[in-house]
Amino acid sequence: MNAETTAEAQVTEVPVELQSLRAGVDQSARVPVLYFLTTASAWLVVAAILGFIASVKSYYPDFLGLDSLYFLHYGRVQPAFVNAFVYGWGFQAGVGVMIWIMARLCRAEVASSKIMLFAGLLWNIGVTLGVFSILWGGNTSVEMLEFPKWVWPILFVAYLFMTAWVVILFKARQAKNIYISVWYFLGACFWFPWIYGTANLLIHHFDASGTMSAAIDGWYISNLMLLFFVPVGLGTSYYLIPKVLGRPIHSYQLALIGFWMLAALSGWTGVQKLMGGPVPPWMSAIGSAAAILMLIPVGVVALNHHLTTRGDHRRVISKSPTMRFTIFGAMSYTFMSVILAAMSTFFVSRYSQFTHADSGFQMLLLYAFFTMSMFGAYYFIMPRVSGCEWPSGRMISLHFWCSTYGLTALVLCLFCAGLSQGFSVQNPENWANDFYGPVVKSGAWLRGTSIAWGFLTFANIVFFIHVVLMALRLGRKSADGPTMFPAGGSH
Amino acid sequence: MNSLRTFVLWLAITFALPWLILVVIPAFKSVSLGSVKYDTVVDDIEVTKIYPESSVFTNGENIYRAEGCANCHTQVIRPIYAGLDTNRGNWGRTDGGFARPSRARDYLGEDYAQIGYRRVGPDLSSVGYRITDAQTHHQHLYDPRSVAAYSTMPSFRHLYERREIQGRPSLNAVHVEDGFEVVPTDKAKALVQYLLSLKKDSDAPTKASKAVEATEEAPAAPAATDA
Repeated sequence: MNAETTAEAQVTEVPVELQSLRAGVDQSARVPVLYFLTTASAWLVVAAILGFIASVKSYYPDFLGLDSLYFLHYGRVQPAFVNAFVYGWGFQAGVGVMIWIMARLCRAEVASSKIMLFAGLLWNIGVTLGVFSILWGGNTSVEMLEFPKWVWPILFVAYLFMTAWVVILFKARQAKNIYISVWYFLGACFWFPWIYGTANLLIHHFDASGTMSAAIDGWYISNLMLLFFVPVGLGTSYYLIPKVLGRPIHSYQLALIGFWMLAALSGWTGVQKLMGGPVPPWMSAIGSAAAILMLIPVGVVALNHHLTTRGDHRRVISKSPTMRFTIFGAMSYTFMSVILAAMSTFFVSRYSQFTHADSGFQMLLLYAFFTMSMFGAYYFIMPRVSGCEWPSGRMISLHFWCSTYGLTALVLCLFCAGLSQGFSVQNPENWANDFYGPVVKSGAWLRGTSIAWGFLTFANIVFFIHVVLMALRLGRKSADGPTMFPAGGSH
Repeated sequence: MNSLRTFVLWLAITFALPWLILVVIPAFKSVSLGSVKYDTVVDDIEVTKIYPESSVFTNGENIYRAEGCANCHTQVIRPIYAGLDTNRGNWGRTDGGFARPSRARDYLGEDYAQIGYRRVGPDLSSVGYRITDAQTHHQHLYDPRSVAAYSTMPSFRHLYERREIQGRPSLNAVHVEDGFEVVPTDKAKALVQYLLSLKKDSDAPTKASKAVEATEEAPAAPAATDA
């Protein structure tokens, strides 16, 4: 029994039947979970490299400026980065984590891992073809849906297979009471095909007007983030925080309120991305209102987590990698919601709209919240499916600090770049001039994003190597508990 | 809450509401968005004119989309309550004048409105009024920093071909040296045609007197010329 579960044991002894049930679940989930988690971490490295190239191209377009590398210009490599990050890393990490946590929570073994592997392979084929197509001239310039229109059916089918198993695990559940994470994961599984199918059909295959298609894209982006990535991230932290601490969440009622408010509000958000634009104003007004009201469910989650961890912060965060990443993610979630509410007001959006600040917000949600929460899950799950502990506490520490510094710098620099652009465009002194101001003023911040991406790429390469070692079962055989941060100081 | 059925039902209800009201129904209604006639009295315009007068050059728009130009260039003018785009002296029809806020019909004829992700470069909704000469566009696309030294726009020289000069240099050569010239390919010509067709600052009708069937009098797409 490792140290993370000894906290539980102090409350109740873990019965042998439960231990062997868990072992059985872990064993059954091993192949698909390891597949998704490993390929996801590979995609993360690819995305980080593309992100780094895109960030340099944003102020030094002749970087890697060979004629043969013409496809690496910003207009192609930036969407390639976003799509590799979202669909290559985000979905596969999310699905891998969801399958394992669902299997554990439902105390049901994962059957037919072959179908899940097939689905995962299909998904990877789709994303690879999509990312290559963007770089080779098939970019549709529809944000987050830049893959050519023949790619989405591949991903759609693969996704249905992947998440059918989440539902099947639920149906096979042994537990009587259903935990909040289960609802979040089931929600994500139902919402995403609905959102993805609707957006792709209406934008790529339907005769809606040009501006309505753009509005639907805004809706898609927001709902992708709020009704897939947020539920997966929240479900994960609702599972991990009580698990590692060895105590229950403070209030299940609060958790349910948070869930249903998210469910009720998110569908209305998204079109405020185009506020003031050629869309019916009531659409962006509703979007803004819903985004501001989102502060309530987010506050509820934050309160719940805070009350659950009260009194134990220092002890757990100083030692447990899982907890550090998860808490970073959870705090980023609250911050993200404040930024979302602010950017949904005209007061802020006149300066932040159509600037790098929008990318900053996406990175805040997708990286600082979702990805860091997934890292926390990786550090918890992988030892349990590969049967060994993480080889190096140093590598974990490196991963954590480089990610933290890199992310803080990335989000800060993107927001500052965006606001400097926005203020420059709106400044009456610049009205008669060329577009010199925004380009020059944001230049320093954009250089900062490259430094940030350097840290993040390095962190993700370290992480990938570590993940591969675990997947190959080359980790430590532990007698003394899970791998923690190296002792002596916070580094 | 312990039943999958109840859960899915409530999930479906809470999501179906915005899905229908915000997305599906407006999408179906937008299909019939078409040109409108001006009101002759109020708009002080001839009765035969329709709005919008012209639409964009689609072949070029496809190149614009494939190259991801929307990542750095927007095509939207926001009204005063959302931003001060209208006051930027050179984003509208007249140099130094106001640009009117964008409307949905400005994007008629476009499959997907290229409203844009962010403004790393200037707004392009009315660039067809600002730059009327194809060679200026070709020079800028081929080598942006020869036009503006501070520019961070990528060089689109992959849309241009370098070939030996046969006799005299071509009229549309962007660069000539050592017996070689650089001329635009069909893709570059299409893209420039599209940029020249971006004229979204036409007078908007104060009152739409009659919605014109799109099939009857669709906005005139500019003819392809060899530019």
